[in-house]
Amino acid sequence: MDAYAAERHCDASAVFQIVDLTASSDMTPTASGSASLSQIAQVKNGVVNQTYKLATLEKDYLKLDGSAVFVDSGESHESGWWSSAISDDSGVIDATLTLTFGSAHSAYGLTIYFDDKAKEVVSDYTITAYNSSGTAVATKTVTGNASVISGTVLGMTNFTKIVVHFTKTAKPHRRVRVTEVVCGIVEYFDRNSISSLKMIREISGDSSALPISEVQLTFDNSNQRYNMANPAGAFAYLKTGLPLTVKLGCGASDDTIEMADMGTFYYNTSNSDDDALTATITAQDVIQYMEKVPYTVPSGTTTTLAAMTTQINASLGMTLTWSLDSSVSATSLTNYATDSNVTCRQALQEACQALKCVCYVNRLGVVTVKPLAVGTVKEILNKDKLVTVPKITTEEHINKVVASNGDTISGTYTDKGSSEVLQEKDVSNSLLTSALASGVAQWLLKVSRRYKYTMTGRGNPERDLADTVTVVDAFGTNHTAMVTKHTIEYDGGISEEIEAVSEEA
Amino acid sequence: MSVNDKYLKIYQGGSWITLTGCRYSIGGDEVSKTVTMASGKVVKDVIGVRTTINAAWDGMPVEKINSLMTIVRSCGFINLEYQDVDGSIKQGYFSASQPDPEVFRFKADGTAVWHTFKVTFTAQEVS
Repeated sequence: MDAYAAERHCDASAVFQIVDLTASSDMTPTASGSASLSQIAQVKNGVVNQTYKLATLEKDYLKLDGSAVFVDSGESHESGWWSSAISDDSGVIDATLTLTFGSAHSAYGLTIYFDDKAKEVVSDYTITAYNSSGTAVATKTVTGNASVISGTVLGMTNFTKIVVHFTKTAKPHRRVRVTEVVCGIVEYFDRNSISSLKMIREISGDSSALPISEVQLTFDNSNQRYNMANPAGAFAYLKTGLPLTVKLGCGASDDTIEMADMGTFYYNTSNSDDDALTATITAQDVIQYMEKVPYTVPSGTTTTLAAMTTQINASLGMTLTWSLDSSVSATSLTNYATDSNVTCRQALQEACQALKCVCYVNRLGVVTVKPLAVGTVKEILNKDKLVTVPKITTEEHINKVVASNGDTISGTYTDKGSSEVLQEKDVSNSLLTSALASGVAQWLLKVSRRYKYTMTGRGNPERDLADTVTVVDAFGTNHTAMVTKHTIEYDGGISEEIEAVSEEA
Repeated sequence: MSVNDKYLKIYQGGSWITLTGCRYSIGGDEVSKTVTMASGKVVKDVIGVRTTINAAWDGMPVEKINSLMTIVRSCGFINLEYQDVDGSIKQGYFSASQPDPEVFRFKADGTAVWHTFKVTFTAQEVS
């Protein structure tokens, strides 16, 4: 990615899924008839793209230009549901896809993904949602659809069955080809609909906190879909946990823009003034859930980071993906008392501090715990890449740290000159063991003496937390530092604020 | 910038209104964000060029004036078709300035005859 071209073109995109998060796993799809290539169970597997443009013999479909492929028997591929029926000379077809659910769900609408490789879509169809009594709770007819991704807003409440009746294909002599069906509306934002995007990601260098990364997306809401007072709006369906996936990119020209995955965040709040043309969605990473859920303490007097992550997953009822540094994952920690009132977030924060590590969620959604250490230099931040010269600060100078578990275990580290006044810092961490306490005290004192570099940069979407960079100061001196905070904004162009810390003193 | 002596078309109410006898010039404004780096180097994030069309009519049939005024006074984005400098026919959505026509003369029945009708169209999107 050419993030530093003198004339740079920038881009942003976001996908926000206003969906019923449990509907897919509860869905059973059936159809009026299926072609031999059909794999109807795939319409709920989360894959929205066909693997191939398949070579089939519908009239006026197959071009002998090498663009279509035959699938070997038994080869795994995504096809979704293909109807057995084929439309007539006018495109008229009679095919039905029925989705039944084990329990009642509510969704803002229905999104159908048609065959994206062959660009074969259905232009006319009717969606009807039924409740458990068989009464239709919502129905809507779509006409003239030309899009591979067809989202229909129809406000379905407490439905247990959805019937999609396809009546006309966009081209004659075609089957219905449905790759995926999503109970909800999937909003695709691009630079034509994004007003601004701001993302804040952060690491606590001494693990005195466990920061929550956040993204704020402001977008065109001229259709008033996100107005709270709009009875036909999406507000009633906005729930915690809806995923917002963000990409940012740049390049020397529009044609060479490379997009970087900035991660998936989860809906937290939305805001739209009734007299405004924009709305703002705020979404945060998975750490937000740890803040609200008590950590269920397992029995035993000791624990490990690996065991705690298993317990956090169980407490949250989620399967988070973890990356634990092998040097610390099995280190013995003091366990909490079983009646402790501690959140998952606090438990993870204390574990990280006791193990002299930092914790953050990387762009792939992996909760990463590792020591913050200098690695391969990813980037040299010189005056051509920075808008301002780096501001260098340090914390208040301390010369003694006492780390204790608030009970019987404590460790002390002192680094005080003979003429210095004593400046002591006390840190309490319930997970400390006698074997760890002194080392943690020493680490915290050294961490407090790191230099902190604060910079305004041009804006590089590829930079990640914990990346090692070389910072060139106002005097031309190089400093090796690790990125601890990255605030990046898109508003047609890209800008950023960077915080980085030096190695431990 | 080039000057054409041809026509503009405005899409309104399901059909195109052709505005002949028009002289228009095509310009544009660069939309970008310029930043001066710590080294003094100036860089920019280019968003694109916003096309502007300055159109003028010396005279226009009264029914065309009425149609155009109705469209312009709606203050919405106007679907406009025009010939670009390379000869290609382009189409896009534009906002329009409020025209400032002058009265050329009054007919015997008191009806005004208008001339020097000028409108600036500014593209909604950048290219």
